[in-house]
Amino acid sequence: MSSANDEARDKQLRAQAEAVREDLQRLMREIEKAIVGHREVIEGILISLVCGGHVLLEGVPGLGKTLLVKSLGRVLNLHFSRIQFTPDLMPADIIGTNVVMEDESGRRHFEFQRGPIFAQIILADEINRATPKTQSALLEAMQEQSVTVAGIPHHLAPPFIVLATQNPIEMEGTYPLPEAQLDRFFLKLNVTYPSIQQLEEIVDRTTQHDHNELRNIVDGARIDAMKEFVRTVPVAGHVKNYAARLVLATHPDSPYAPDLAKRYVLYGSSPRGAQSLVLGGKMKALLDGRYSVSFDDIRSIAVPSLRHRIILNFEGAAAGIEQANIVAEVLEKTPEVVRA
Amino acid sequence: MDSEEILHRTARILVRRARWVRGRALLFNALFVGLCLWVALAIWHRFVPLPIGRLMEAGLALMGLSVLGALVMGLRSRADPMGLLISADRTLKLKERLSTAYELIQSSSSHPLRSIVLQEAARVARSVNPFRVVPTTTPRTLRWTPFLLLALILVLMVDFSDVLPTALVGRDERANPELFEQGKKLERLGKRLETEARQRGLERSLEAARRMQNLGQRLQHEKVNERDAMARVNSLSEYVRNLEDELRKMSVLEDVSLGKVREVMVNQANVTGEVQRLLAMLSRGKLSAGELRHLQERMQNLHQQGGLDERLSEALSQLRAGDLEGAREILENFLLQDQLAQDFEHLKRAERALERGFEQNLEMGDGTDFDYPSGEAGEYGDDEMEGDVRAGSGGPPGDFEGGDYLDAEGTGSNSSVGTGRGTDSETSRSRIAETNAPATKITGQSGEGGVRRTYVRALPLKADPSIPLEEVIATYQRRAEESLLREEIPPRNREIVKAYFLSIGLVEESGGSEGKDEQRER
Repeated sequence: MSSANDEARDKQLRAQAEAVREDLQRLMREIEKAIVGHREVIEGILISLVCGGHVLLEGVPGLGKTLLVKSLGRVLNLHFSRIQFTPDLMPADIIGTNVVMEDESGRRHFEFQRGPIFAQIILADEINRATPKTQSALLEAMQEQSVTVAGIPHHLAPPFIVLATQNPIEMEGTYPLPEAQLDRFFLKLNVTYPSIQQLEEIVDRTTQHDHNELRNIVDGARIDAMKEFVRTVPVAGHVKNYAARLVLATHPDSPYAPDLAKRYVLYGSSPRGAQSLVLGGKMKALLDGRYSVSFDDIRSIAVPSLRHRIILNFEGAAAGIEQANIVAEVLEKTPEVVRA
Repeated sequence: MDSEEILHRTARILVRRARWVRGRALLFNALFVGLCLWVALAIWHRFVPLPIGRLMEAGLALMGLSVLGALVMGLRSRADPMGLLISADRTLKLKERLSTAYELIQSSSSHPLRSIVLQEAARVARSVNPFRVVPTTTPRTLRWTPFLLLALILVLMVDFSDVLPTALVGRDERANPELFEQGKKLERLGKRLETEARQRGLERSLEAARRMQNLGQRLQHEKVNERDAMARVNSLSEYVRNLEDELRKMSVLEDVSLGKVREVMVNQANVTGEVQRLLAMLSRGKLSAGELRHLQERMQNLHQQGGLDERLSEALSQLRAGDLEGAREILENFLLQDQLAQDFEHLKRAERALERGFEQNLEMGDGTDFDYPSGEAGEYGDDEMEGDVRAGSGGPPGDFEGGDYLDAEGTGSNSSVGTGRGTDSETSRSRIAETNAPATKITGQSGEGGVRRTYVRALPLKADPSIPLEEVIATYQRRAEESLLREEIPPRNREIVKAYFLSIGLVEESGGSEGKDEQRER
């Protein structure tokens, strides 16, 4: 009897795992109807979505960042909100504010008018154009998934995901994101320029009548369920140890740090980097149809998980060192297993 | 078999395989370490030499100890199943399925996906090949083995003393303990020989003893070529053995000559006295039967002792025949002839001594080095010994290599000691014959040369009479002559020696050669 129950439970678990993988693949296929290429970016966004993290998309204008996020909002059947960050954008413009309202009896009272943050998928477009004050308005929402106005907390409906974009080349009149805010992004994904085939596809899709209507694949509840299931995927001790050593290796004063990190890094990744590695690894394993996280899973997610958490020193910034290169160096120099 | 059991079995297989591979590697490493130690020992051997047999034994012992240590380490080593499964995951690209599942098995807390993870692990565990996960590897250190073997051979076989400076090669004062011991032994033997030679007044043996000591000290303290040194030691050992034999024989002969021969001389005197006593008995005239029988017994006894020649046999026959007068006459003649023979022998020896002294004086001249006796043609080389070739009948003994002792003889008629190598054996024999006395030939092996034959005039009587001074003075004179013959006499002292002999009345000063001729005629 017990064995039968176990088998049934195993079957159910296998079905859940398979459903997660299937749903994510369906989501990817649906998004790819609107977005040409950028498969890794889409996968990263979905991983962040299922892991409950936020994504910072970086790329030059015109590469489809906004379209990607809008497409995601459409296929997820979630409340989508777009905030175009500008230098004069104020926190209240994002969070919302108390306004004086008059009721039928003529009495006036303050009523909280929700800002665009009250959505499930937030597109923070060109987030680095807003002032740090406005950028910091996102901090509490991103971490606590709630905002506090006039001492009154307002919870944001799950699932809540912020997809911010920033332009790396137009630095004039921009405000680089503070480290605290960068650390709150689960992944930082670079949207690269499409290949010639992809470009041709983009041209075809955008210069003709677009008949591809995106369908809702999953809803918020399903995403929450997937989020729960992903966390059950076991991670072996030595794999966790590897993730931890990778994070520590980004610190210049760590014994694990490679020479590049020691020379050009001012601050390394926070513990959120390790969380990101392990959760992302779990998601990668599930997408690969496995139930255990491998070193390869950790490695594959390391660059988007860690690069925005590494703060270069002056020498590194002056030398134009890419954080991704430092992470690559860390991956190369950190052994998977350390003999006791 | 459930998933957990499959996983355990896989872990056990890997553990067994890992232990075997580790044990093999340890064994190789132990052999390598043992070889290294052996090389180190061989290098040490170049500075502080060991017998080669002991070196081999020590090297084998070190190798054995290394292997034993490896066995102990191999038995004590424990392979970590988790590490092996991680290795299997990585080698076979199993995406950490095995290690994650094994960790879940080992964990006490339950996990919702435990069963699925174990099933996945069991599925891939069947394809685990332990030979791929834990491949048989040869320790990289083994590639140095040929070089080590070569180094070992070089260190043991090649003599670097010609190539490297002495400071690097080391002060090989005790290059070989065996040589050192041999050197000590040689020095000790040399000292002993020196003492004996000094006691016996053997100059040549004394010189040999000093050379032995010198060589012994060199063997102890100098760096020498081992092979040459061993050859020298062997040759010298042979030499020492021969010398010892020689000394022993000399000792025997000396016993004969200095003790027994003196006894012979004394007994010879006793024979004369006995003959005189018998003659006195015969001179009394008529003898009773008992006296006659007693007289016959005493003559018979004298005859059996060998102290009498055929003349006394004839006298005995006469006595038995009852011819007392005839016997008395024979005995009187015997006494007279014996006295004449002794006198003649004394004169002959003195003459020979003087002649030899003059001859040497003529041959050597004034610049002669008197440190060495005449006839010394060889020198003890550093690497080999050469026997001295001494000519002349008066030369001291001492050559043991290449020497021919056949027909060698002594010149002393009464001392009967063969103290040199004669070159003219016929002459020597004639000299022996001149003594006109019964001689006993003693033949013995002496050194490498051959057989030494020495003539002793007579065997001693069993009687032990007292020795009157006037009877042994002639012996002392002869010994003095022998000593003079053995030693170099400076030319300017020849006359003194001659004067000495003149003073004792053996040769008349004015007689010169004529005197000698007269004595020869006598």
